[in-house]
Amino acid sequence: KPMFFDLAASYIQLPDLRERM
Amino acid sequence: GIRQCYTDIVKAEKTEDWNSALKATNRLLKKFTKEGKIAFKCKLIALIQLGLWEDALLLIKKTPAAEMGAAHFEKAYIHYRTNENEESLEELSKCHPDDVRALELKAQLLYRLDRFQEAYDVYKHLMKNHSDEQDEERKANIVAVEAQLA
Ligand SMILES: [K+]
Repeated sequence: KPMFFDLAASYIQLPDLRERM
Repeated sequence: GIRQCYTDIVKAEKTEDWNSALKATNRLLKKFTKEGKIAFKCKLIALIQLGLWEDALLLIKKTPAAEMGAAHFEKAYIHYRTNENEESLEELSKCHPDDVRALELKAQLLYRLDRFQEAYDVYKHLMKNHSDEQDEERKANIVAVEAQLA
């Protein structure tokens, strides 16, 4: 079976913190 | 103070220095307990990025949902990375049916489980309803699925 991109990984993200900085 | 912690976390994300991000989230959780909800989520992301799967699962288990918000996708992703495929699918079933993140991960799981037709159907739905900077890689994944269907 060919290799596969793990695109779901890109959705492991911090919440939006801009207003807290 | 609080703002410095968040600045450190964001800076650490940019440089992918997740150890520093983790330290900053621990500072937040220790010194500023009212930051709980968002700080727990930041800590979870740092643990996942560091590949600390057991710690990440333990954090989800120990933290009441009211204190972290839903973490179904993140939990499903941890199980995916540790090859606990059924647990991952089970957790994905708790996500909203239109959640793009959940659909992307579901397609990957179905491919891994040789459930190619179902994987193909999920990708078709994704491509029709969603577009982002990963479209090219997504197409490559679909080609891999199609090759198994042919
Ligand atoms: K895979």
